[in-house]
Amino acid sequence: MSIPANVQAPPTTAVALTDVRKTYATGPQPVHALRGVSLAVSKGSFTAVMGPSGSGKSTLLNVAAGLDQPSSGRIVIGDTDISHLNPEKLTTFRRRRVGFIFQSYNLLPHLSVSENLRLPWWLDNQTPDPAREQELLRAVGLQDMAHRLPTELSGGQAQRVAIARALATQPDVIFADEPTGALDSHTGASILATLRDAVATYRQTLVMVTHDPQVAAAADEVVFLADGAVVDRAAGASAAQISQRVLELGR
Amino acid sequence: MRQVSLRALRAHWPSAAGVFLTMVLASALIFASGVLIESGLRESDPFSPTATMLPAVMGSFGGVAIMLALFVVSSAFAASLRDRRREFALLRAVGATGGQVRSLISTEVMGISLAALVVGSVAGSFGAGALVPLLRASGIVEEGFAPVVSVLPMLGTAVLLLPAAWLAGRLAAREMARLSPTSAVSTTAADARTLSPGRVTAAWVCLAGGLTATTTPIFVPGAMGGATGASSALLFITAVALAGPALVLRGATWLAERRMMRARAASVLATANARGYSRRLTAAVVPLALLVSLGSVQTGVNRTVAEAGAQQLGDAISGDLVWQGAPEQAADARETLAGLTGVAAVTATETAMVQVKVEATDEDAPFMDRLSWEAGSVLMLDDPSGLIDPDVTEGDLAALEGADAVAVASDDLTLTGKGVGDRIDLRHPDGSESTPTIVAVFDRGLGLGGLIMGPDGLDAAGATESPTVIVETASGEQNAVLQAAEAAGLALTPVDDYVEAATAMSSSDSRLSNVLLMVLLAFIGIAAGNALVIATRSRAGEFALLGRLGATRRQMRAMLGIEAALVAVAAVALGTLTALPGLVGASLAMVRGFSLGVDPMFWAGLAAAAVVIAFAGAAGARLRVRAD
Repeated sequence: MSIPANVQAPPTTAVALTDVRKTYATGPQPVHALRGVSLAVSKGSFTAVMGPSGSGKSTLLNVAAGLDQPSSGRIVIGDTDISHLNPEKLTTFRRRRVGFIFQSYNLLPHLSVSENLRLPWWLDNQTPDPAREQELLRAVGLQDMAHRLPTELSGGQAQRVAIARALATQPDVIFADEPTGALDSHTGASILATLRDAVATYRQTLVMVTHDPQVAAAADEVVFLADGAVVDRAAGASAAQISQRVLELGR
Repeated sequence: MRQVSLRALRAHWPSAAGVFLTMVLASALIFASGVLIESGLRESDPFSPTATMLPAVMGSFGGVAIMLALFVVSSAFAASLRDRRREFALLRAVGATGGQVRSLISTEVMGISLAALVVGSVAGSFGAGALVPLLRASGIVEEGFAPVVSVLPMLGTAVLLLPAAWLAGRLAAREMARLSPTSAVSTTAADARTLSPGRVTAAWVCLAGGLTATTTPIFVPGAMGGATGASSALLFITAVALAGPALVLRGATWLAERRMMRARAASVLATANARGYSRRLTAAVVPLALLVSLGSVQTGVNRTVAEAGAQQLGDAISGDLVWQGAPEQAADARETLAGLTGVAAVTATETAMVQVKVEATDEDAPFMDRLSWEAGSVLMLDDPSGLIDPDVTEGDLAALEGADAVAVASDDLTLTGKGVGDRIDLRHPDGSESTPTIVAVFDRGLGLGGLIMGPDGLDAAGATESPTVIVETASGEQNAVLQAAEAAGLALTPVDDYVEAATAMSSSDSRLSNVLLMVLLAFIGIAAGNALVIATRSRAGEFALLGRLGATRRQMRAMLGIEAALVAVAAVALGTLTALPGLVGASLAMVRGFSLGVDPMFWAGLAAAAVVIAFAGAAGARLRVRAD
């Protein structure tokens, strides 16, 4: 099903993608990473994106978050159509309205935990709010590590900083690309719990790429991708059902 | 954003310090040259060596220093910023706009540059003072000379260096601001494989400029053509720097296909690194190539000019014996020698200092008036049709017999833009001025000097020096004349010895030019070492990864050794190749027969310096391997 291009996304929709395509023409053969993806994500919901390697999950997230330009199609975040914003406006929009958590933690190595957290405010020429900063650090359990440098943190701690940074500007939506992919399962589970709690506390919309059926089972909706297209959507599926579906797609 | 800037500086202090040091040295070189040039221009006596020689010597040094400084400063900034690509991409990923990244980089570049300019100016004023004893020993300044330090050289240094630094930062920032935010997310960090169209165009333009400069001596023979030809080396090096990554990529791809390079892990890795990090390798090769190229060209052209001078002097004199002595004995010596049996002809010459006006005076800057006068010497012939043949190409030397006439070397005409029939403005040591008419143009300016006047010129010139009598003996009478002259108390030397001695005199300031050249080479050496340190600094992660994958330290050391060898070979080859066209051009333009002018020992020294610096850079990286 696709949403007609001329219809505004309903107010309850946080993110709407309409027939989004992304083609990479770097090699001798063009690579179609996304082949007409249409998707609507409700405000305050948790959407998991699953699919085999190379199915276009990361590309979908990068394009939806405005990190990468789609080859064609329309992307609306909140009430803003970001597909036609110029690069400067898109960056400013992204900075204010979109949070992103990467698999690699992407902290600036020479900035302390609290400085990394303040980065979105600094970039926006705003004075960081110390109360908000403390609150975020408490939410991710790092209130005692504000002055540490990223090199003095464990992987899990670094990812908590990235989560706090994504929440800092109270964005319309947070995209997370396998945020626990580089962590052991125990730390990963704890990070996900932190992320889910924070998202619930601040009523944030979360779109997360994950390989973990357990994580996906906790989502409001699971979107299955294969070969750059949405092939299935499931709400309320169990971990076993999700696992089964992913296995079928991988075949 | 200020916090981000300050933290970044703190985190990257080694490369920031390297760039700062490079910029300090560049500022110091230009500032010191400026101070000495200005001191010369402010000298009250226009005929003192301080006024005539100091601006010329320091001007030619300063010119080379400026070109080098611009080159080295911009490449140092580019290299240190490239090292931080990932950090800038990361900032883009967390929402920094392209404009914010650009302003971050510009602020940092200008901050470092301004601080370095101040420190460099202080260092430069000490440097200028330190050169004084050497300048005095070379006779370029008088006893009691002290450099005048004003604000002008600092302004000049700022006007030259700040825009270069700003532009380098701007170009690097343009590349960084263009980075897609997703490039921070991806883990690949290899250099971009293609060059921007602007860069490719600029490389072709520099190559074309270099070729044009190389062919100049064919159309503009003589010293001017030779000097232009030599400037081709710098244009070629710039072309190499611009096209470098593409050249390195091709070279490394070719190497990677050789069986020899595929036999061992270390060589496979080294060629793969060269391919993947072609920009990094270019940044290491280019300053070293510049070292070899500039060193060869500077010394080579100087030697070619000296050789050409000797050839022209030898060709011009048709006599076989020469007398030199005190001015008061000159007239007697000429008469005595002319009267000796076996002497076929004699010609007496004297020289006088003179200044030639080469451009109109600027009313607004009276002390700059000194710049529109070129110091030179006039050769005065008692008999213009005698034993000295300056190789007249236009006009007639016989016209020098008349008053107010002068012959001008073709090389010098290009400066004044005048020809036969025009008048030139001359200033004499006694303060008088004259405006003789050009009656002839001659070619042997390198051997005889820029101006020749007839017997009447002596009256106008005032004080003269180095009186010389050239003697032509009848066939087989040379020994008899030598003995007769000695009996009369006049010592004669064969022409060949005289030419040799005259050439040696003209290169008496070679110690100074060697010291100045060494200063420039040391500057390039430091800059090249700095570039290598920056290039290896960012590789800790790569070494750690190789270690995790099972590369032994020995393999990594071998890999670094091969990389250093690639850098050294490429630098020596490119440095030599870029120097050759200019040297060949200079030789074709000035010297009969073929001579490159390059001292093989000096060239070997330059090549060895390049090799040592390349391996010293690798040794720095080895320490890093050990630390991991």
